[in-house]
Formats: sequence, C-alpha cells, structure tokens
Amino acid sequence: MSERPAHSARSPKRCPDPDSSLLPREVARELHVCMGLNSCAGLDASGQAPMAGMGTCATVFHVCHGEGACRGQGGCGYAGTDYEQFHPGEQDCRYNGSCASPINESRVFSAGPLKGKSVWKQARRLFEARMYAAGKAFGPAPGEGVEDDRMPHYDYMSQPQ
Amino acid sequence: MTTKESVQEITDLQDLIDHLKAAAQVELSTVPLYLYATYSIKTRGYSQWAAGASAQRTMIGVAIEEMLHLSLVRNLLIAVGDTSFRLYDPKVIPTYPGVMLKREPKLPMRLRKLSTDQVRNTFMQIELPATPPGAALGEIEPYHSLGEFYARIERGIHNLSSTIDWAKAKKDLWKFQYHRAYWNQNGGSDQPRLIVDEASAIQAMQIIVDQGEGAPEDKGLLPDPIVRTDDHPPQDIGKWQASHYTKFSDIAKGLDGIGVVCDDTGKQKYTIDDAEVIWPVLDDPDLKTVKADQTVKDLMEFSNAVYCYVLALLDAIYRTPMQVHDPAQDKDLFTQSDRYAYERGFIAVMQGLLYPVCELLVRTPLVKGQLSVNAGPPFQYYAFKTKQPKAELAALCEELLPSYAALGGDDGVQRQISLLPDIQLP
Repeated sequence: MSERPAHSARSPKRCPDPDSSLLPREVARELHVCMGLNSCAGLDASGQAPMAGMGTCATVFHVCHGEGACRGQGGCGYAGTDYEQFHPGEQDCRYNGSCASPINESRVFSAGPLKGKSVWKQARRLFEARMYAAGKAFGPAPGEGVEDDRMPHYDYMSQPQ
Repeated sequence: MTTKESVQEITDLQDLIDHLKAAAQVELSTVPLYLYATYSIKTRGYSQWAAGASAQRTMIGVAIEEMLHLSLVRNLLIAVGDTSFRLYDPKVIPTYPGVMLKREPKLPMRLRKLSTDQVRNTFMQIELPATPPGAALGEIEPYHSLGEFYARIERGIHNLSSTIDWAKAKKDLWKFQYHRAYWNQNGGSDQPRLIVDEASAIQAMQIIVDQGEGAPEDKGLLPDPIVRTDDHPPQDIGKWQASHYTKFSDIAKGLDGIGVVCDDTGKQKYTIDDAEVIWPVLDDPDLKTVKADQTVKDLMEFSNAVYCYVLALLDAIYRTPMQVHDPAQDKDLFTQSDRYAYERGFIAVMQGLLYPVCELLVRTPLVKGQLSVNAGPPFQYYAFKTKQPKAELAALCEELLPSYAALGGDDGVQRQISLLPDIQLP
C-alpha cells in the first residue's frame, strides 16, 4: 500500500507549480520567508498577489540557521536561541535568522516562548502586526506554509562519489 | 557461565550486525531517560546574569546527539546490508526500570526527574570514559563502557571490510540512510552522515564515542566536528565541544543550572534538587501499575502512542529511499517527495506532539487535588490496532479533549496530528 502522505485541508493552495508563470522573478522585489507574508500587491514570488498577505510562496530560499543574507529572512523552528525563534521572518540583520526558508506547514518552534507551536502562524501574526502598524490593508493567506512533501532544491540529494 | 578470556572480536558479518542492533537499542534506551529528566524542569528561559549554561538546553542537546548516534548506527546497519531492523518493535523498545543492555557491571536505567543523584549515578555512568576490559559473557559479550563496546565494533568493521559490499552501499543502500533533517543548537556540529565505505563507518563510530564519553586524554574539550587528534584542548578557538560526560559533570556540579539568579553576581538561586524548579514526577511510570485518575492514565497512554508513532515514522523513513535530483537540470522550485515529508514530519512530531503531551503530563497530578506526585510519559510500547497509526492518534486525541482542552485549538496537538504523514505500518 502506498505511504503517500495526506495533505492538510488547511492548505488549499500549493506553492507555485513548476511550469506555470508563477515562478519567482529573477530578482525578488521583496524578501519574505513564506506564503501570506508579502507586504504589498505584486511583491510575492509570482508577482501576481492582488494585495499584501496573499502571496503564494517565499521569495528567498535558504537551508539553515544564520544563512539568510538579509534582514527578515529567518524561517525559525529547528534551531536558534529562545529569542531568535520568536521572530520568524523578522530578524534585524543578515545571518541573524534562524532556520530554513520557506516554512513548511508542520514546522513548530523547538525553543522559546512558543516551543511546540506553529512557526508559520507566528510569522503571520508578526506580519499582521506590521501591517496594522503601517496602516495597510491585507488579504487572507492562501495556506499556512509549504506542504511537507514539497522538497526545495537545497535539499536535493546526489549520488555519493 | 563466565569466562575471563580475551575480549571478544567480531568475526563475521552476522556478528557485526548483531552488535549494531544491540548498539541501536543502547542508543535508543538513553533518549527517554534524558528527555524525562529534561521535561521535569519547570522553568523556562535563562537569566543573562546566571553563571554557566542552561541545564535544560544542555540536556536537550545531549538527547539530540543520542538521536544522532542512533542514526549513525542505523545508517551503518543499512550500509552493511541489514534492512530488517525496526524500532517500533516490542522486543526493541526498552522498558524502565531496566538495566543498560549487556553492560558490566549492571547499570540501572530509570525514568526519574532531574536531580544531582540521577545525573551523577545514572547519566554520568552511562557516558563513563573507558576502563580496562574484563569479563566476557553471552553471545554478545558484555562491555564496561560504551567506548569499549564501540571500539570492538570499529575493529569488526576494519577486519570485515573486505567482506562488506561497500559498492552496493555507495550505489543503492545510501538512499535508505538518514542524512537530512538534523539540527542541534545545543551540541556539536556533527551531522548524520552517509556511510558508504570503511572510512565513513569508522568516523561515525568515533563521533558516537567521543561525543559521549570523550576522547582519550581530551581534558574535557573535543574538536568540533569530531576528529581524532592529540591536540587537546583544540587550539582552534571556537571549534570545540564538550563530551556528554563533561556536560553532565558540569550540571552535577551546578555549573550549568536552572538560570534563576539571586542577584547580578551570577549566583544561582536554585539547584536542580529544588522543588521550586523541578516537577515532582513519579519514578518509572508504568501504565499497568500506576495508581492515577483514569483521565491521567489515558493521557499517559496517548503519550505512549505518540512515542511509538515517532519510532514507526523513523522506520518508514528507513524503508523509503531518497531520490537523486540535479538542481541544475531541474527548473522546478520544488519536487514532490514522500521521503521528504516523512523527514519533516519526524521533526514536527517530536517537537509539536511528543513535547506538548509530555509537558502536559508532568504538570498534571496523578490524582486530582494531590500535588505531591505528578504524572510522566512512560515511553512504553503501544500496540496500534490498525495499520494506520495517524488515524488512531487522532481518535485518541479526540477522546482526551473533554479532559484536556489544551490538546485542541487552532495551534495545538490536534492540529499537528492532522499534518502528520499518513504512514502505513508493515
């Protein structure tokens, strides 16, 4: 019998399909770590989000703790200090981020005040707080993170030599 | 019958496989002990003024490294051709109280709250540096330290290397090994590694020994990542780690502690023996004999089911091959991968299910209104009634919601179960 994982009903939309026109632009106009975190219309991976908060995927991909090359790129949840882990997508400086981007939907914090709780949900909470602070409208997110069975390039395996 | 002859050598492949299966059981048996003690810590956070490091984070780091050691042993089992080993097996899952497998003298293994006694007399004894070998007994002869045991395996790998099909390991079997999905903020930088030849096999065994009990003459500090060297402590500042034995020794001495301070001198207000900071969890919880409210027993049984799902998911990972992809030839952002979903799910179930359920247990008195003894996770075998453990977890959680509302909600255990991979038991 197949062991194919069931997908969550909480994520009605998947990250962009490979051959669609929704692939990231060569140079992202904004850096964010998952779906539903774009701060303005058209600044998401596809460039087609109708408004803030409705983007379908991350615009930055990196594999681990401290690898984000700019502020706000930390995914959080797998490693990092208590403080770092509380701020997914909201680090103040490059290399201060904690963990891979994009955020997968089952990822939870391994430490800090939200240990055991959803990373994406906290990233979205922080995003929404920024939007309220800026006085901007935003729309519903298309999901709560990338499905766990969607493997990004940085985790591809090659034959051992 | 006991003989006092020379130390046993591993002479054939089956003997090596038997030793590796025993090693996997030994590594697995340490994880619940360390987690149980860690869960018993009440406090969160750590004062910036406190001397030393957080005992809680140190303990978590050690537990994760034991999981690393388990993965290295199992990767080697795969590499030498054994794909039959399963963790979700009543004969493999350790029971508590028990004794450390095949160790002489006998070392009691007990689930107990964190205390100086537990650290000194159990944890430090588990990671005790090597002593001279002595008696021999049984099919797998006993050992006196894990270092001695793994040294025997190292010699076995070397002596049998010409009979091990390393080419098959490099061509096919590596795909079944555990390689990705490992993070440890509180430990060394060593990671699960693919084992495809004698050199990688020996290196894996050295990581296990040195991270645990330390290297000979290491003076408490080891290179990070692990390499065998005479340069102790390593001169490359910032590239060192302490062995588990040293870390536990620091906790027992109070150097690494709870993190609540008296003032800004760094003196810690509480030790790990103070009731203010440690939950009064019972010793060696056993679902068959524990005297507790029925709802508490049900929660303990749920924790057993979650623990066994973790082990079954690991088994699913080890029987599902990784795929080979070349990013340069792939224009997709992502590739669909069941194996990848299992790996993500494995991390998520430990952090998002096992932890919150255990954390709820240690805060819960065995009998309502009696605050002297709290519950704890028994880490016992749970027999799933069907081949669909995820569905059973969901049903168990649903039944517990009227008594434990914290399991539900928008960001609780119930949601996390819905995101688990729907593995099938063999």
